Amino acid sequence: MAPPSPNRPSSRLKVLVVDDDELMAEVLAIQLEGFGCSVETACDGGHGLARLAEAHFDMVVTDWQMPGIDGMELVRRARAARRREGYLHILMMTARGDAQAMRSAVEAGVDDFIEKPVEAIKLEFAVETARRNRLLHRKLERRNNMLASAHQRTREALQHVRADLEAAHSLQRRLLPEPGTMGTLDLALIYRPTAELGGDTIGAAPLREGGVLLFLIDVKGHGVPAALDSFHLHHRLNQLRPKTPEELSEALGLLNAEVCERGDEDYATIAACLLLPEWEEGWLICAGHPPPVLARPDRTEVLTGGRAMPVGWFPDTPYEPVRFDFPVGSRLVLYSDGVTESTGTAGEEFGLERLCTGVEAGRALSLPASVEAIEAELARFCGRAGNDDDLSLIAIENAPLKGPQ
Amino acid sequence: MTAPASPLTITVEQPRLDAMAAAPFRATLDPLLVDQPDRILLDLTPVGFIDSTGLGVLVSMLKRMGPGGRVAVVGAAPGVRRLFELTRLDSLFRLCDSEDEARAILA
Repeated sequence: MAPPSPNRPSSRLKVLVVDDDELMAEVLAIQLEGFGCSVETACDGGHGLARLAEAHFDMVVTDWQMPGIDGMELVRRARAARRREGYLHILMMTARGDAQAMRSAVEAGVDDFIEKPVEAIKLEFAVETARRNRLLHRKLERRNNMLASAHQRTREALQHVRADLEAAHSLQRRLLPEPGTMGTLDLALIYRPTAELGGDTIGAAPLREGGVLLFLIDVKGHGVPAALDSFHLHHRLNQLRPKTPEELSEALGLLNAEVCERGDEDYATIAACLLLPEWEEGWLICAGHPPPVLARPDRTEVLTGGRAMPVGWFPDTPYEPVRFDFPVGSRLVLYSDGVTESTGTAGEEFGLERLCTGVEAGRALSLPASVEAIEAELARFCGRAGNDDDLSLIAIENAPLKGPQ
Repeated sequence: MTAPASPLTITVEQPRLDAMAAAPFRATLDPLLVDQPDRILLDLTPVGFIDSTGLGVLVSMLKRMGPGGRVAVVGAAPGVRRLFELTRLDSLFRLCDSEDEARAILA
């Protein structure tokens, strides 16, 4: 059985020999064919360049001194023309070792030199070098192609993820109450998640007789998992839509049982209120959530009642709402801990006291303007430090009746 | 009658018990909770900050203790203490001013 041929098309070097000495060119061609190359000859630089433009070659063996376009010029033009194409190994034949001329030739793009008269063994070495270089070049080219295609796939995947996140972000925004009027109540809010999606959500659902179910949920953690959970809890509470203090207690108990049942470390803090403007009262459950701030016409206070554990910790947790007065002209502010725990440039927290001061000062302003002022104060306070938690705040006012008397 | 064994002491070494630190802390806890200890003295002295994820790990530690498990906490920084109070976790984790007080509560 014949041994595997070294002249397989994939390993066979295509060589162009350029020499004005036809006999020399023929001798070289025969030798190169003996080393497994496929060879063409050209009788001068002009013909050589023409063949290089027409066909692909892996290697050029050229004489230096030739009439018309000499070896140096051939190399310069060949390199300029093939800058973006595949590998081309150029071997130049020299009569003598002129160091300066050889340096110029290397600069022009010559890879290797071979002295005349050409020794077969040196030609064989030069062919082997060219073959190895071509192999390396092909491997590199394949690797680059693979990397480019992997990069392209990654880019496409990233674009999909971005599009999904944007869609989810827009859905999450749509869950938020519209600033403005709901029954006889006015509302304004701040909602700034740190990532595309946040674990905070705010809800305000109208009840009969002008009442409103108001809640702010802060799910443990950040990003997509927290956002998914916040979607669920938001919908669930909206679906249960408690209308009485007893129903509010039951609703929180049900949410707690449902989250506990999952058996993981997930939980959420919730501030949930029933606001009943007709009765000028509100009911609050603060499940592990920062206490709301209530600005009444006569004083501003922090509502510390109705405290319970977050939902998702212990199945038997009781959720007892506490009643508070909510007379006309009062403003209630629910917020996430991201607001009070915002840190300033010196590392200190924004704190509940600053928030109370902001709410109190805002009484002189319209509700939207007062919320904008708090947001501006927060931004000023954090300065360049920025914020590393989701920021959510909703202010709701039992507005005096407007319109013609 | 035998004297009650001393409580299991767990010191949280991380200065911030947050989402980043939660996984290594959970890994530290796992072997300690295998035997479902009924009393733990939790030393939070090195901890300056606990976020929602860190708090979740502490709650899950409590759930994995033996029936009627009790935890006393020493070294809670003011912010950490506030967080325990806000979430009512102070009703299950007794916040103590000294190790002696914690040991007396757990005795």
